[in-house]
Amino acid sequence: MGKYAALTAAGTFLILNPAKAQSSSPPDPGGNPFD
Amino acid sequence: MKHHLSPKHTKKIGDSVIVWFEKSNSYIVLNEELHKLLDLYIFSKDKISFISNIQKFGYSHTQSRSLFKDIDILLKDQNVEDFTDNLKDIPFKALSKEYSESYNIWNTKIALHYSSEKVKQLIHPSLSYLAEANYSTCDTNIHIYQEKHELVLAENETSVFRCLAKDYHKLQGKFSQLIMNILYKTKESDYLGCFHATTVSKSDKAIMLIGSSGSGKSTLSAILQKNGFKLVSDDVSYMNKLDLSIKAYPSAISIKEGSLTSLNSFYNNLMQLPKVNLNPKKGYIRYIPPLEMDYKKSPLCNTILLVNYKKNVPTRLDALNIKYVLEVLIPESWIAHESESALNFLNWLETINCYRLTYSNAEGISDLLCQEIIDK
Repeated sequence: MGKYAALTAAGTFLILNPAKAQSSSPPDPGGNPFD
Repeated sequence: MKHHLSPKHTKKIGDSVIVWFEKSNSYIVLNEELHKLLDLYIFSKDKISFISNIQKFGYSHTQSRSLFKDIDILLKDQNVEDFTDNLKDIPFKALSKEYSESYNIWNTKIALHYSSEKVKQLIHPSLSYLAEANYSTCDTNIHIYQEKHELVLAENETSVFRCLAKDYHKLQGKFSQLIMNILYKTKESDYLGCFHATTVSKSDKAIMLIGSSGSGKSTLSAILQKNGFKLVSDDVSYMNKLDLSIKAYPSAISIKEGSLTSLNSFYNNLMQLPKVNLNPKKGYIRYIPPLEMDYKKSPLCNTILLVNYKKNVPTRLDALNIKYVLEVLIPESWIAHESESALNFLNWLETINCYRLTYSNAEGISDLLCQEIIDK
């Protein structure tokens, strides 16, 4: 059973945390240009 | 039973209830019934009375016990302080070699000094349309340099931010905040947040375009600015904390190589635009300068479009439940971790109309948005 399984099963239940800092679009995965 | 664990703010929007917890800076979206259960937990005398109360809603004894356990853990989790790394003192290092450019951004002159051509690629292509042909000295000097595995951002020879080089998007984010502060003579605490969104406006009404990377929001903004809309900001949309207006940001519109063909009928010189390739495995990104950016006006926004580019589909604009917007918007945005900003954000959400725009070609989109949003 996952965490909050009973709440999730009982209706709409979303936990949303904002980013901790300003950011532009994260880069696509697959390589670090500074390596 | 546990009043001290209650959310600080609660806002009902449509059939959803959004609660905000101060310690964790979490927004939790619930339907009305779950919100009632949360309230019952908080106001019930003890576990036995909670379980007996919620059984009246039709839950079995087992379900009621499981719900008690979940709400108990949830409220404890949300009342743990959110830990944010504090910036340690980073001494500024003068660069042995600098790649310098001066920019005239809305009559404010700013010099940027990069430690290498590669570091220059992080910022310069998006602002190159504002670069001066010949470098000139400026009162404001920003340094961006690589030091081993890290990137450092400094303003007037004082370091203000550093991050791992692979997380260069975080440096780009802090750079955008720094530029906002310089251009508008503000500080970070003057902003409610920085949304991961592209914003366009028409007739002083702003529309925020959101969606994951590749969803077509920047491409759509490039189409719209050729059809009577103005760009307010690409990729980062800063909202003023008090009046909730969206402040213009000068970056050009970033377009992935694969999206250029859909813009061919609107722009003649796409292949001549500044380009950058930070990742050899991916294509180029090109930057389309804003056509008419009205930085003196900061429009209010009461529309969010979740943009959904798909091949070979007719254009559709459908009303959308706010929960689908929030699950995209909140995790990708910085929202100041303090009570007033959270409350203002929730109050703003109450005024928002949400839509999903599905499109594959540009034809008719601006007319549709005018008809359904701007002129309404």
